Amino acid sequence: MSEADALLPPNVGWALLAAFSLLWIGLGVYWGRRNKSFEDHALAGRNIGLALGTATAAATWITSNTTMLAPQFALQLGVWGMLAYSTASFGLLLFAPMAGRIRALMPHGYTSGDFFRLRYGRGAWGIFLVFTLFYSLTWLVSMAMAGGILLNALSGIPYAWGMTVILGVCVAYTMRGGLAAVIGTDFIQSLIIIVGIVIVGFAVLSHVSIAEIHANLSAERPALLDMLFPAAIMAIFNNLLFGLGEVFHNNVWWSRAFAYRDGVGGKAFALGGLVWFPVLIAAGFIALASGALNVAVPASDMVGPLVVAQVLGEAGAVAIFVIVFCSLASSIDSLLAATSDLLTEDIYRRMFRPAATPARLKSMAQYVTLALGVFTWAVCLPRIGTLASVLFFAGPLVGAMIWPIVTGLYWRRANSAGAVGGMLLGAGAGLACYFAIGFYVGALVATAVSMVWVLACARLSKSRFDWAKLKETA
Amino acid sequence: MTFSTGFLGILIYGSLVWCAISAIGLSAFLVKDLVRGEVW
Amino acid sequence: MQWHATGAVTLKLARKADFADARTLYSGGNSAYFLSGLADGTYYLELQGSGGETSAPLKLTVAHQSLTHALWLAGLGALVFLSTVAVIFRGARDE
Repeated sequence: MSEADALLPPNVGWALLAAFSLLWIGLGVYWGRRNKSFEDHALAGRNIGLALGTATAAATWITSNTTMLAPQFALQLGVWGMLAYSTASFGLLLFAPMAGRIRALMPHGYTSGDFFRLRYGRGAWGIFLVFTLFYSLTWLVSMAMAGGILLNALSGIPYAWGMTVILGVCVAYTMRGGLAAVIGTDFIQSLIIIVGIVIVGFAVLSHVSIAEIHANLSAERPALLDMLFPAAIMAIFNNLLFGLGEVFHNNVWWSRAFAYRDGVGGKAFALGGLVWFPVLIAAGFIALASGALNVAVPASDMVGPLVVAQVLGEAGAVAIFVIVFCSLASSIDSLLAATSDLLTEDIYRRMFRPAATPARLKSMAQYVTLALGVFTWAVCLPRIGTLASVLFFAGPLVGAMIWPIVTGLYWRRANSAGAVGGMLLGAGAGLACYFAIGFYVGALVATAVSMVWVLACARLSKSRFDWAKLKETA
Repeated sequence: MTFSTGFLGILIYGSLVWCAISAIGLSAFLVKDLVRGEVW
Repeated sequence: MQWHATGAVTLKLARKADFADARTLYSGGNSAYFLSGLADGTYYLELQGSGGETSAPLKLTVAHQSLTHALWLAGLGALVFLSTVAVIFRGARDE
């Protein structure tokens, strides 16, 4: 935020921050007491029901990007921009059938790394680990930074303090409570976010009608309403494939596929996608009202809070603060938990200590969570703005993993040569086009190239994978 | 060619109502799971 | 866009160089304004201080990306996406 003053006095900001921090940590400690082994800690005993499963899928996917970037996107790319971003829900919807299959093929699995190792061997596993750690760590860093920046802009809490508190709280309850705490808090957070958005949305609409918004847009920003706005059309499928790649590969989603009770996974992911779908439009349209409400926007990334604070005053600012805090926490906690499980299972256990006891693995996962938190904190502290944009490089990396994963789950003839080549060629071509042409082709080209390679290898392949190999125990 | 007022209205009110329904739905699921003892 | 000024300013946008059809985008104490969603064409911007002094006009040309290019990319994207959907819903046939 460049010039305008903070929307809330810092003492109100601190009070809200303290209240929610205590709530999440308290719940984390309370729920953590049921966890005895690594399986309890990492996968909540593989027994998550439909209500919590649906809410956690939606809440994890509602990041600060959804609630804060949505208005910015709407202001830059208009109606198409909002629709294009909403397609990210397809990631969850399409993962639904895959989640059921994952649970059936790998009843004892822990991570998406287990799948790559057992299905394609160590070469593909190594590439996968590099790609996924790059993506997960940049996502984590970008969200912790966004947390500090947003809390600062909303309430004047200094960046370093806001970032430290939000990260510290998430590390504390994730360490103590494992996936159970993450999923339990996600349920509460998702309700707060959705109810908050509905209240704020209707409150804004009581001050300005759709007809006024539309008249103002056609007069002053006609391209935002244009059905053939080229920049927005170009972005649609790239966004869509980026989202697909993010969900299909990341252990955040695989750990949930393993953690849901038998038969729950498919329904929970599909419903989670449906819950997520309207959130972006409901949060983003607020930006389109800025002109009709005469709210001057000094920088596009603060448009949402500015409109809400102007229309609804301090109550609106409190609502935005709480929504932002919940959307950040619900994603940071999931990412911390899933990445620490990945490091514990795939690197500590599978590479170094295959004989580690369940209790030892659990405490290892807790230390890894703490270490991840400290690492993220150290990277975020200097507030290097360009770091968050590194996340966009991940588009080609995750896009290139879509086809190896999907065919690996469904086709016996999909093989390692296809997976390794698809990931490397796809990511290489995608990154080259990202720099040569633009951000809006990175994930698209990567997915297309990797698809062609994977299909060619599967066509020529003589090998037929034995699904029983995925059922590895302990 | 531009998106009409009507379309914008459906989009915005539709998504707000949809959000409200999901909040109610999630709460209903939780109550159902609690009653059956199937939360986790 | 950003500027340096002391005190309140008024930012005006016009399609003609003589500002005959100018409309006010913003007036107040901020020193930045985010402009987006304009249709293709040439625009002129000028800044007026509270005392009436005026900045040199800034010429702005808006040209959106080519629509044909965008539709080709969308076509390729649709193909890749639909193939992925097809593989998932076709499921495992060779077990």
